[in-house]
Amino acid sequence: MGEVRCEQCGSLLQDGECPNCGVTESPWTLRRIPTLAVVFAALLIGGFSFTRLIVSDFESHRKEIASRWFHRGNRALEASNPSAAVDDLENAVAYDQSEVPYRLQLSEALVSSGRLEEARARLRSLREERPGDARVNLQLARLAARQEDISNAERYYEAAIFGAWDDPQKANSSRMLVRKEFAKLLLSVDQTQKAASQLVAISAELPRDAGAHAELGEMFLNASDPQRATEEFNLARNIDHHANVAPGLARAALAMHEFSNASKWYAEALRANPNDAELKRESQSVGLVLQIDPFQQGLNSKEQAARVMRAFEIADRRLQSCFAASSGSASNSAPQKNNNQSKQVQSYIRWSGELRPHMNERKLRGQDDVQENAMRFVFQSERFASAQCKEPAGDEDKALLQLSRQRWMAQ
Amino acid sequence: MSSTPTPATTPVRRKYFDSLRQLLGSTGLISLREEQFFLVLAILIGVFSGLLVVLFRVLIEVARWALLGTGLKPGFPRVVWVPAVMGLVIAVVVIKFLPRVRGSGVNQTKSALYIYDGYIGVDTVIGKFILSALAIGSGQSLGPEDPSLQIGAGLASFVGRKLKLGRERLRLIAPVGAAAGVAAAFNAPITAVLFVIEEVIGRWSAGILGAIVLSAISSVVVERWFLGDAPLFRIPTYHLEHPSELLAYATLGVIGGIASFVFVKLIGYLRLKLRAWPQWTHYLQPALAGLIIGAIAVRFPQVMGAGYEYIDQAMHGRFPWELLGILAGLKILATVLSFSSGTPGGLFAPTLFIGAMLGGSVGLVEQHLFPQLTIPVGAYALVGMGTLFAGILRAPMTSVFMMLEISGNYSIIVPVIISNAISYLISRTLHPTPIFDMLSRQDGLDLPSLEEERELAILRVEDAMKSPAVRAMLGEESLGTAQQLARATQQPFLLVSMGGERWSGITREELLQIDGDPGISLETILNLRLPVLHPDQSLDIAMRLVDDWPIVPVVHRANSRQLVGVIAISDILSAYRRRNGKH
Repeated sequence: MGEVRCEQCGSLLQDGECPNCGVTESPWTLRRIPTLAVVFAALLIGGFSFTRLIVSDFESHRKEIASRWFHRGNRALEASNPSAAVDDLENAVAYDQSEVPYRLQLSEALVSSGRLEEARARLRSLREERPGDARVNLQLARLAARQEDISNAERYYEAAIFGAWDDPQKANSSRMLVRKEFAKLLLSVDQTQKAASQLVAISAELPRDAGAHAELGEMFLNASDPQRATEEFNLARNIDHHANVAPGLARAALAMHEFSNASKWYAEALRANPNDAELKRESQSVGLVLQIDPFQQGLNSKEQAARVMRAFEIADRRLQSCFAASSGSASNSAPQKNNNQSKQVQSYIRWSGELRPHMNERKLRGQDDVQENAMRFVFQSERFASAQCKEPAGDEDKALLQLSRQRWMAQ
Repeated sequence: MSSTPTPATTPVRRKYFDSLRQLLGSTGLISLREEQFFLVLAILIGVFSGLLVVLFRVLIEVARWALLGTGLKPGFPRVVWVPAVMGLVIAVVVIKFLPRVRGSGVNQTKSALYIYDGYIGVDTVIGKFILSALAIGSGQSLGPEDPSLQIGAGLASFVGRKLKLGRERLRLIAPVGAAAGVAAAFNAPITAVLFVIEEVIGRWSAGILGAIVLSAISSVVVERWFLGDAPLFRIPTYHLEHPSELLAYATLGVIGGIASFVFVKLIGYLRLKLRAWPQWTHYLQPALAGLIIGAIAVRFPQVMGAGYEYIDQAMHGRFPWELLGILAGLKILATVLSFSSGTPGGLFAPTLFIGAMLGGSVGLVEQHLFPQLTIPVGAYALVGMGTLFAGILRAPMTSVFMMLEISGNYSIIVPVIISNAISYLISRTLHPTPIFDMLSRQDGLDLPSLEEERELAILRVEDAMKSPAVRAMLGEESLGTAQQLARATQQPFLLVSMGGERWSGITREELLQIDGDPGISLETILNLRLPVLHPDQSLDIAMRLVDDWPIVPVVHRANSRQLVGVIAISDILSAYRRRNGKH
């Protein structure tokens, strides 16, 4: 170790103690700090470098193993063997927890093998880590929808729509697809207003594609928004003149009680799809409405009077049959309700009785106020009958009801 | 340091070191005191322990790939023969060359601290590193945390010896390394600090706390740097919906306490039995344990190794309650076999595994019986881990903080505390000796234990002091007044309050013999300074301070001139005798 001198006075230490000032020798470690610093620095650099080397090799090997299991799991999933896929994907996740696709695929496999609760637990834990991840929220939304947990499904779909997508360039198209999926779910549970608001958001970003606009039009139609449906069908038609949107336009026109337009589109649709029974039936009912409508433009007074008389007869018959049916079941209903109902029926029958003397062609011709009064009776009694009894079975009654709704909407 | 440099390099090296010394000296870096140096050393030990633990974990994983394959479910027949053959290999190496490598490593570290002056051999560290990795990697039902603790402690011991630290420092450095090892293994510094205090040092010691904290934190930083900072387990956030849910956790505490008792009892029994068998059977015991574990693993591969992957799966509702219950039972069996056979490896991970499975099982049964309970199974599994940790290892504080750290979930704390406390109390009642104390006694060692220290009532000064027979004099009083008081009493020693916290005293005889101006004050005559005690201080402290003073004043904490009692060495000894039942 050599000679050691006092740190204060520089005298030679004897037995570790300064003969001059009595200071004792500090441990050798404290006297060799620079040496130790160099040694430790070298060991640290060496240790870190070696560990870095080993760990990076180890990590890459782990990732490779994880990837192998992942692909094996995918193959098993594609081969409709979800149980094997779960095992393989669990291996993949055990080797690489950081890969979100592995964990998502594992939950997908769990869902496929019917282990919904497990899938939910895994996804929820993933969501804890990545609350804003759109894919995780989307999987959770689908799972909730599958479990008929609509309120959670809505929450997760919205989180997916506003969440972060891995590929920013595809984010908008992905969001649109999620909105569409969400809207379909909402439509399936009759939440048409919420669905319509999703569809409006989609329409703002929809690419110039006839098929996409046509599909959106159909969805608007299902969401009881025929106006926007018509706009989308027209857009599709503008983009591609051959786009098959006539059935949609016809149904939208029918939903808006634009019977002439509807008839025109049905005709075009039937030219393209002559064997479509549904279209034929709808077209015929629109035709009947047009045949029965006394307010159609271009009718002469004779024809108009004849149509009013015909409508009056149909409505009166429907009222009588409804009255007979409700009298039969009156004993089973509450007395108070029966009383009100029968008073209303009596008033309609009285009204019918007042009108009946005027129901001949000569008296009706040119008597616009009488015609108006008669048709008011027709529409109101049809609506009353369909409310009290049930939707009419006869085509003519249906046509009148359609007309009455059109009139009611117009008012 | 003693090697002689060659003549050619000497001037260069000297010049280099001189300039470095100047540089560091000017920045004040080399003017470290020994305490400061120890703290710096603690950080370095933490860093190096962190590196070693990272490599240890890598080695375990690589051993597993090589021995059992990369799938979580090893194929047959490898699953049966690998643990058996590796068990035989490990047994031969341990018995022939490295007998100190046996067991978990906690008691070995404790022995180093209390018996071997902090000595843990390098061969033990290397052996523990390799053999534990092979044992765990080959599927023996053991964990890597306790070996990490011993590896950290061994590294610290080696560094301390190389730096020629004094005996006291050398003793203390092993727990510093131990804390670093556990911290890196669990990625949980608070847990490591608490565990080392509760289980390794066995007492609260403020002197070493700073070094332990520094080493634990630095090792965790290193571990996170290399392996990431994700918590060990990922569970969905838990919220206590209704206080009645706590009853469910209390039930888990009861079941966990009983399971802990069974586990400790089985280990205690089987370890002794196996040791009593002929020496040649010791070579075969790990192999036999491996064979049985392999046979179990054909149907239940979850029982092999540390089992962290399966804990994660249990937390995510992967297993039905029946399977969880079976896995808890089989893991108890597998761990008891592996550990009792002397295979090197730890108990922490198996404890957590058993707890998670048991917790999950109890949780699912409770959910089935009481559908209104909305607690996720992951929360039960997490609480179950803490419950078994508290019951088996009897480290209640460690168990609570561990659950917070390994899950990163603070909302679970109330259920964890309730369940752990119940399990701890049941386990303590059924089996008063904690597992590590039981193991050390089986090895013929008697090591201190915080758990047993808790049992001992602490005696305080107030338990031994007597009321003062005569009032204390004041330093301002005159010699004449003091002599009058002395004549009026037969007390041989009189106390004088000198102001502030200063107290002095004088024998009655000396006081009466002073021949001087009766008007001078006592404070001008007396220069003796007595130690002062307070009623709440422990008798251990009093023993050190009383020394050979006839009596020592016991004063009020709020008013140090107010004498509340006096105490002598005979009073202290009487109090100890009374506590021990000897009068």
